[in-house]
Amino acid sequence: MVARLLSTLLVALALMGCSTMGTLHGARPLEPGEHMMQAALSLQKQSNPLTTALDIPLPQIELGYRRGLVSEVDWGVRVYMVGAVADLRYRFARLGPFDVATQPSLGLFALPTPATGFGNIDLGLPVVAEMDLGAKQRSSLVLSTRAVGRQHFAWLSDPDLGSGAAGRFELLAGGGARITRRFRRLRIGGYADVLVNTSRLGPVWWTGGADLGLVLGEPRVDDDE
Amino acid sequence: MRGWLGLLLIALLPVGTAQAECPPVAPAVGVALGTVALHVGSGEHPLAPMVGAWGRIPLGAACYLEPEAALAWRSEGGEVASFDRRFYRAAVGLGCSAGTRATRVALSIGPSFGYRFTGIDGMGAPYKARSFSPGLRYRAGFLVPLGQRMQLDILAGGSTHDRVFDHDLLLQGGVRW
Repeated sequence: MVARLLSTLLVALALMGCSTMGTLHGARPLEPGEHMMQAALSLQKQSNPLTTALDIPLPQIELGYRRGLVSEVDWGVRVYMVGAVADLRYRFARLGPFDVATQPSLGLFALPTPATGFGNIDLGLPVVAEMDLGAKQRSSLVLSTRAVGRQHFAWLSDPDLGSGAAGRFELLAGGGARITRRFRRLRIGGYADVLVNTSRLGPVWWTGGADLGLVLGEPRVDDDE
Repeated sequence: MRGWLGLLLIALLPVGTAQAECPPVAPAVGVALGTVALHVGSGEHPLAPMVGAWGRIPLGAACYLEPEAALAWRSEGGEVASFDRRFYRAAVGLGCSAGTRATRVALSIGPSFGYRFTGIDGMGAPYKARSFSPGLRYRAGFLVPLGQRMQLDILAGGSTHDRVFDHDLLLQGGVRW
């Protein structure tokens, strides 16, 4: 039973994509007092070994939580297969119909085994713009651009082969678009993103997916406002 | 360690006094500390520590000129050879910022001048190479006022040197008036 569970888990891990960098949020932070649960499913074509070998996109699943911190700022965490990312979103401008926010993030992806392992740390700096669509303003369009500094790491610890560690830095850049539809407290979204590795030649990476969010709580006025 | 540092930097963002207490962009000077992904001959970008000094001259309420100077170094010793790399950069950026809280999002661009030294020891005669090059300096990040007198900025960016790119992440601390 345990062996079957482990083998199923290993197959699932092998079939999952890498760090996720889709445009999962717009530019409007949650108010203090509000929080949101979110789930997302995506297909992504990145530098995962399976994608590289078979030239096919891989699925990824994410679960997220966000909470309003102060006026114009909220924070969130997302977990996905073998990784997690934390971010802070700050709406810093309103330009015509667009709300504009930045969402710096820190992500970790790691796949350790007893003898070896690899992963990466991502420091992301996206800028996101969001505008309402239609007269009822129940939908919005989100456009994003992002730069991601990625530090790869790998290690080996084997009694026969010895031990060691190596790292490599890469800068990724890209952008994406998203449509969000609001139904009272529900948020349904779809997104598509592309990313290029500026540090080496290679194919364009892409991510496409859909997500469902539920906003809970009631907004309250900040004490310091 | 770098991950925790990144998380700490992100956590600093909502810090900042109320907007009314300080002008959006103020004259300031200070020191910078951070890390640079330094382009090396193999095409890789190994990380190296970077220190520097900076100043800020306001141009209106939201824009500014920012002269800066920085130094980075990286030494690697191996069985075959040891490498000693040093990188010096001077730059002036023209920046603009926006914000709905005291913390402001900033973007700047300007000319830079870099000097790069590489020394290799252990492969017969010691080898030394020097390179001067003008370049382009570009940065984006956050200007975080801490009260009336202190400033703590988090800026990511890079610069060109000949036909290669270096990337850096700097924490700038200083005084404002």
